[in-house]
Amino acid sequence: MPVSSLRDLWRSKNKYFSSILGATTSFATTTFVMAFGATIGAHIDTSAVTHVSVGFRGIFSTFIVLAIIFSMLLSLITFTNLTATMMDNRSKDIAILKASGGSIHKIYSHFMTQAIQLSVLVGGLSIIIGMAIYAIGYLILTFSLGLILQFSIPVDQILVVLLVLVALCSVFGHRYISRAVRLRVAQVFSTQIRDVELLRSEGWLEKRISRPGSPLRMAFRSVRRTRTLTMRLSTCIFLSIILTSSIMLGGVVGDQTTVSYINHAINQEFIFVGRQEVWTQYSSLVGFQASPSYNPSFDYLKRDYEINASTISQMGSLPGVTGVDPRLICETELLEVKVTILPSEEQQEYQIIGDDRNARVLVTGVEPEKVISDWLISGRFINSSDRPPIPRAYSSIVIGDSLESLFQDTTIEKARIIGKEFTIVGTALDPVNSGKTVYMLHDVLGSLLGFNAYNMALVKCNPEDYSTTLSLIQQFASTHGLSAFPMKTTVLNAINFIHSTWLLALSPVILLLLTLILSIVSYMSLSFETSKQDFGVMRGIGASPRHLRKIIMMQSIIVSVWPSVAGIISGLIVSLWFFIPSAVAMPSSILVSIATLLILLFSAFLIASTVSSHVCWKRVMEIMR
Amino acid sequence: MNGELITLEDVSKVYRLGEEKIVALRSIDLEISEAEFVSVQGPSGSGKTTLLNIIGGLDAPTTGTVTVAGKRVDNADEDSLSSFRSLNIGFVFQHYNLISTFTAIENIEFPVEISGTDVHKATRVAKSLLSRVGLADRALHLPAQLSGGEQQRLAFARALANDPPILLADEPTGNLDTTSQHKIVDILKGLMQRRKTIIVVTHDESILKLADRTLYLVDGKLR
Repeated sequence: MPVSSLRDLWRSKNKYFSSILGATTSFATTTFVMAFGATIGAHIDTSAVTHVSVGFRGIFSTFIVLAIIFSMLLSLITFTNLTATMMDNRSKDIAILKASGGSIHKIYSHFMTQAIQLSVLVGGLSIIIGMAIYAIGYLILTFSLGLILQFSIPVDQILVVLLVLVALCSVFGHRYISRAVRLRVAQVFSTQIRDVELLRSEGWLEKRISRPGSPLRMAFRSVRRTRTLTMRLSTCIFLSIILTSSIMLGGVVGDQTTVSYINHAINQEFIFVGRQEVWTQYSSLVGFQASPSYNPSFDYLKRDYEINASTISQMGSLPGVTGVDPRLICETELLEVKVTILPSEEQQEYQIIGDDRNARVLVTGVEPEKVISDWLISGRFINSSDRPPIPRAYSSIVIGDSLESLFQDTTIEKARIIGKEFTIVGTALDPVNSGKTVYMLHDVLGSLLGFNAYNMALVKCNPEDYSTTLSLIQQFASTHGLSAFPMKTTVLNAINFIHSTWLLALSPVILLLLTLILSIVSYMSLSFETSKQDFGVMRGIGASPRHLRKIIMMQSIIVSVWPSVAGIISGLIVSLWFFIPSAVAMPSSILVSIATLLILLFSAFLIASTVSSHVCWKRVMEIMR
Repeated sequence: MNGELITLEDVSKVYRLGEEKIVALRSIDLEISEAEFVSVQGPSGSGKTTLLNIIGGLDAPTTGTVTVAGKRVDNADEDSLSSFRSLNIGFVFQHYNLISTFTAIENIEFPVEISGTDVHKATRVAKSLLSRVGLADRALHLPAQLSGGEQQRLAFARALANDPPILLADEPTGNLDTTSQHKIVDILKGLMQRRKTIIVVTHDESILKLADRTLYLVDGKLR
């Protein structure tokens, strides 16, 4: 039995080549995303080599997990459709086997064995392809970002997932195999196409948009009368597009959201003013990669680094300067303060929240009214636009996103810094010191440290006069024994790291798009297979190849337009609403991504239609054969 | 058009099945005049259907020339062959080969519409042909909902849609009951009266009796 079903499968390899290739690429995508997520992705997340914050990690991990789930779903859809189409095309053979005395059980076993063999074959090939792409991705990341990453393949995890996929494919395939096997012999032979349905009247649309006999009307007739087939085809295309566009647009949104929170916290246009040593230390904390210039025992509180209030005030009156944000920064320990909850009606026992955890953090003292950063805070803003109670709350702090994971519940726990306890009023997505930051009032930090001046300032200027203002600030700084440095290069480095990482994470999209194109080509060509006889007859009775090609093109458009549009819109909704909380994305980037997707889809449909209609130019007998 | 309407000169057809060569027709020379009724007989696999397909331009000969109504059909391109078939040849296939997604009336309208005829006229022609073959009440049925005899009559009606001068029919009464056979014979008689050139592959005595001459094909050769 296994040998005969394998032989049978081998004979139909050409017919289902594109479908098998489509299923293989979708399986390969799953393999690749898994390997990527489990090794390189995890490495980016947790390694000491990279300094990404928890906020970034959250977005990145969500993306990887959803990419794995979505690519698995796409594999299932592609494979199930392949089985369904194969069984449709074999219904006559099955009827003949049954008419010749073959038992239902044996016929079922034959095709079920074939489906399992096919899924195992596809799974095996996908491991090879997925791993090859993983190796290429690894090399790109290593060379482009200069990261030393560990090359390892989670073979056990990949095998488990592929086994689950093979099992699921068999379960889903069973439905179609069982249905095909149970069809009555007479039922199969009594009609030319089983799914043709009688519609006595033409549709409202086809009556209005085309004249009788036109290719559009012919296409409409065929599509409407084979609506079971059409629905399956359209649904497969729709689901495939949702999954692909969700991952593609999710990646774009993820990239833009993470870049956006960097740009909000430290804008590229900001200018740093302070002593050269403080700048070297501060800029080493901004990027996402470990910097050799970072000094763990740096003394932020040297008297030399002081910037007094009058200097800040003079700087603010320079032409072109729109804001000066003076800060006092230093690194120190933060300690989680345990909270004991007393017994209540709901809670019978004492409850202790917290575990005395600690972390080394960058503490920044700010003047709330002067803050020019605009953090994406899941809580409250520390700047002046958020009135009560923060600006005057001497015991309030806002923490960076990576610190949030240190606490069990930031709403009831407190943090101890330099011997004083603070209430946590908000969490900011912060790229500085990989999110291990604390923001408090300058007065409070100054009195705790005994350092009442500032040691750095961020200056915001009018973008139109940026160069002039920069040189003015540099001149001003040098006269006060300070230096001024544009933040652009430092921020761009951090942004480039984010872009490169997302670009690599988005590489499965290329595989998914390939899967989508192959799936569409195979859906279309297999759908053409079922109408081949009709097309041959049309040619036989005088339809020209051009006329036939127009009908096929129209059919493709009718079948594919709604799933494409609906799929992209749904994908966008999924990626914006479910992928990333507080997603930020430039409409132009989304539009460019959608346009790219549409062009790719259009190309896929064009390829599919061209491949299918190529046969129109053959002799009639060759078409019908 | 004077003299021969259809001329085949040294026509051979060889099919390749992997390494194997199957010779369907061997050096056929044949002339058929206008308004002639020719029947073709021969055992299974002797090349009867292939001969019909080659005359109709559905298949190309491996060697030789085929001229139909003054046009070389053996080396013509597919576009010109389509328009040629649309105006000159009516085909009745062995297994009816109706378009499964079109209703009975649409199956007739289709060849009329693609020949460039006005759509209203196409519908009139289709209705009149359906009445002629006794299927007026089945106009909105799909082929799958018609009996074998009805499908065959519909196939005849479709073949006559553009009123072609040549009718090619492959076993038109092959699997039909006696009543349906009689109806087909009546249709053929009507066509003879309208001076159509008819070539029919058949073993049906009632059709053979109508023929001006009968061709015998054995192993791809005319006897």
